[in-house]
Amino acid sequence: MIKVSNAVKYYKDGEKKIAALSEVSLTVGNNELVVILGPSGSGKSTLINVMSALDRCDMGKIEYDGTVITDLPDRKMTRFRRDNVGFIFQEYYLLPDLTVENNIRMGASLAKNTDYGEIISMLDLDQLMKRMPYQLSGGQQQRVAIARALAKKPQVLFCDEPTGALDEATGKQVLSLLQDYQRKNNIAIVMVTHNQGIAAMASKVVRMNSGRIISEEINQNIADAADVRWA
Amino acid sequence: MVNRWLSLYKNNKVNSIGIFIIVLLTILLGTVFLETNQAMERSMALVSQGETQDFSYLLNITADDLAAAGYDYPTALANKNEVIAENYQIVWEERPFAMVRTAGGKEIFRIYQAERTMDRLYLTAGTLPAVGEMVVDEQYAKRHGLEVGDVFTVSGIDYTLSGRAVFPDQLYPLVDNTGLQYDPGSQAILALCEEDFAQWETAVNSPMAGRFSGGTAEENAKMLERMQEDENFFYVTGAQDNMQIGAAITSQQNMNLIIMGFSMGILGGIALLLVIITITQQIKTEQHNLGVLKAMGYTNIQISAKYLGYFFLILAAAVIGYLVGHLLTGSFYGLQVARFNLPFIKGPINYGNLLVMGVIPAAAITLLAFLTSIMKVRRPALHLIKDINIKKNGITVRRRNKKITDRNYLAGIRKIILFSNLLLFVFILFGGFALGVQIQFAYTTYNMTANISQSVMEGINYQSDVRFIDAVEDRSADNYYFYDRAGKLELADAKESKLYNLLIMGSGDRSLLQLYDSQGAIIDINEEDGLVINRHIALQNGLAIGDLVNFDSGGQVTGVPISNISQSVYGTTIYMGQRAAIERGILDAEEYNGMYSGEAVEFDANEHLAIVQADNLRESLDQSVGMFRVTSIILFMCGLVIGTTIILLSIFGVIANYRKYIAVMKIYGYSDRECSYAAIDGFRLVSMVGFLISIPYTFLLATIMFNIISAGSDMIYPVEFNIPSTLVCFGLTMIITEILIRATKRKITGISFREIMEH
Repeated sequence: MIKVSNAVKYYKDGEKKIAALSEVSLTVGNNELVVILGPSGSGKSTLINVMSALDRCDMGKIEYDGTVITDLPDRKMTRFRRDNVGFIFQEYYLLPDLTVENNIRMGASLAKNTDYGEIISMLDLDQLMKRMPYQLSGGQQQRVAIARALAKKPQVLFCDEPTGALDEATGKQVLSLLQDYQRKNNIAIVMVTHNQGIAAMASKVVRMNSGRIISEEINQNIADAADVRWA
Repeated sequence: MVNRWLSLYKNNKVNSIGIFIIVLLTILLGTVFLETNQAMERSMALVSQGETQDFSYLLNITADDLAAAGYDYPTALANKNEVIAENYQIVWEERPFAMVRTAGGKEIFRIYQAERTMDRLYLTAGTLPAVGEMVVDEQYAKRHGLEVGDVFTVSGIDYTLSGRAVFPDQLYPLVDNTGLQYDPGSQAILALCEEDFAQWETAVNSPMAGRFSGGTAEENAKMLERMQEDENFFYVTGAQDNMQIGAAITSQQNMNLIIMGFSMGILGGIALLLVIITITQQIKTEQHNLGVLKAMGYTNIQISAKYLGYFFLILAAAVIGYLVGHLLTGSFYGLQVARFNLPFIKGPINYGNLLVMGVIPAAAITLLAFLTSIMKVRRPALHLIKDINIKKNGITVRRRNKKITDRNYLAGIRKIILFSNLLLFVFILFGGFALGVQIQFAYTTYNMTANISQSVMEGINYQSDVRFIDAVEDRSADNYYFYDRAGKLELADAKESKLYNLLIMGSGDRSLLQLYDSQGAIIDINEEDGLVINRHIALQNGLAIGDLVNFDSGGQVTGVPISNISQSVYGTTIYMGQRAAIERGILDAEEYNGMYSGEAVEFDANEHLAIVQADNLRESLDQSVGMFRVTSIILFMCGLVIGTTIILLSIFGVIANYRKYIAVMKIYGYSDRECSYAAIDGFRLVSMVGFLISIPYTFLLATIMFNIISAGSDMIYPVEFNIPSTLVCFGLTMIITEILIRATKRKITGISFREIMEH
């Protein structure tokens, strides 16, 4: 379980200090899919940065199953990321000089995971393994990025606008894949998005504005990703 | 506009500083060498206004000449000169001199007559001397703070200094006759008026100075060749081949030109490569904004125009480099001509040089960089904005991808990163190469000078002993006699060599002079049936053991084989055993005109043509290699700065190019060490490969360069492949690269998730 308690994060804009997060508290269960919604500048990306140990908060603390990660030195933070979290980005960030297979290996080799064939099949990448990123469509590239993240066997998967660069059909396909994997493997997913429609598939919907959580809803009727209404 | 350029440099601070340093150093080095040569030209042009001689010579006065002149040597000399002057349409002037040693032999003065029709003194201060007055050479006067009006005492006689001068026939002065190089600290050339000069005792055999009365340069060159073949001359040396007048300066200028071309070629290439890499990186960083501009309708040329701003950075570096080089020229000139007697004629800022060395290269580099930027932004606007990578990977990258397995993942992507950016690969290769070339070249030069000293002195075992000529009366048991004769070698292709001294050595104690062959074995001269020549003479004339040559001494031609080659690299002396010389008819009987002695012998102008002391020879050698050592130290320092800068910029380039790679890896949990291993460490090897390429290149370049210099001098500059020095340079390159890689690893620590998360 991830527990965020009174997290505060400032950014400097010249002499001014701007609060990107103001005393944010949030709990994410071990097999929850949490969607964080909010307009640009609301602090949602900052929140997943500090939750995923990419960044430190200035005040407050982040705990993973009771272990505080906020005060870990850099080396241990890196180790923590290596062992626990995976990332999916809107722009995929595949390494352009590596084949699909070697991009996926980037995650797998960290977890010493040599058994990622199922993930490849699940994401229908079998035929694309020898291709280079420039030879793939946007949806295919995002599937590779998901495979890279999942091959790492993360306990928590952080997704920053994973469907932002995709059309509706491809977006739904990507979300379905994520939802299937989450259900099958009981991992937590924290997803940042502008897309209100995606909230329907989340177990918890967090809305943010001006660095604060303005609402937190538990979703009793979780929809299938394929049925979400695209905003 | 200025702000736009400044922001261009600010956005790429490190590379801009690197470009600035490399261009500045390149132009500085080039300027110093070029303007030093130009200053030498200016000085020589000024000095030659005093009707510098076209040649100097010594006549061959035969027994018949003496008989015809009633056995009066001066009359015989004058008569023969008249005949020669008419035959060759020349004017001549005897150049008698007196040698004076004072302060227990520590100070040496060569005194000339001041009034001359050719080689007229170039006065840097004052006037020609009247009775009781004296002119002293400029360098000595400068060193000792002598001014017009001061009193100068020579052998107890006081003279008032009427002036300071440069002697056009002693630009690279020979004050002593021992072969000792000019040292203005203890040696001077002095000039007296005719009346005062007559009081001094002069040497018997004075050289003559001559000028052609007319004719074109080509006709005169042919005439000079004819004179050199004429047996009436003991020797004839053209001014350009005369070390005292032209040869030493020409040799120095050639060396400067070679170093200049070598430095500027390599450094100019580096500067160009660096600018292109900088612009490529900058476009990569700014491509989103450039894409927006393109989407708004800006053309590729308009977008790329901002990179023309690098012209001003390069130009500023070039101008500052030129100005600093211009200011340093005087000091460098002083360093180079420390053994010369040339005035420094400071030139004004040479806008031609500035144009050729600053403005034109700056414009050319910028233009090429501008064209590169146009090529780089010739992508669809959307691709630039969204960083859509349509890069087609090369065969090497695809092949490397196939070799990656789960077990060697990091090592595999390290290799891919190495080969994925050809420009960076070449730049790093070039960095190692440039560092290797610069330090090895400097090291080779330094090392070579040590080899020369060792090799020249190897055969000379005597301590304070002397070698002198024309004193053959004292035949004590400890002395070793020889016969010294000047002559030329006629080679198989009918070409004639320059003038050499044939030293015919008799039997006796040869511990005073020992020759060694190429294997280091002692050459027993009395067992040799032919000539023993040194490596320099063999190389210069293309001679090998067994070749048959004619030795031509004053018209007496004798066929003789080359029987051995000594390992010496220096000098114009060839050797023969007395037995072989008599058998071949070079000597009629046992004759001597010189000897080696273990005793200290004072120079006597009436007895000795020359005395060479071992210490003097050693000192002379040290002086002649000193300049190379200074140059090699300068090259070494520049090499370190430039090589270090290039490697540093290369590593920065790698990090800048692979920031996103590194950022993604770090986000996923790869440690800084792992990122560094994958992204940077492979380039260590590339840099070393660059160094390895530099080894044969440097060796070849140094060989060619020093062969060119050897051709105009009496010495081979033996460039030898030296494993220890190569290992030292290799170690140095490794250490520098390692330090830089470790120092720049902090840059990797500085790369954060923001590189992509906040894109």
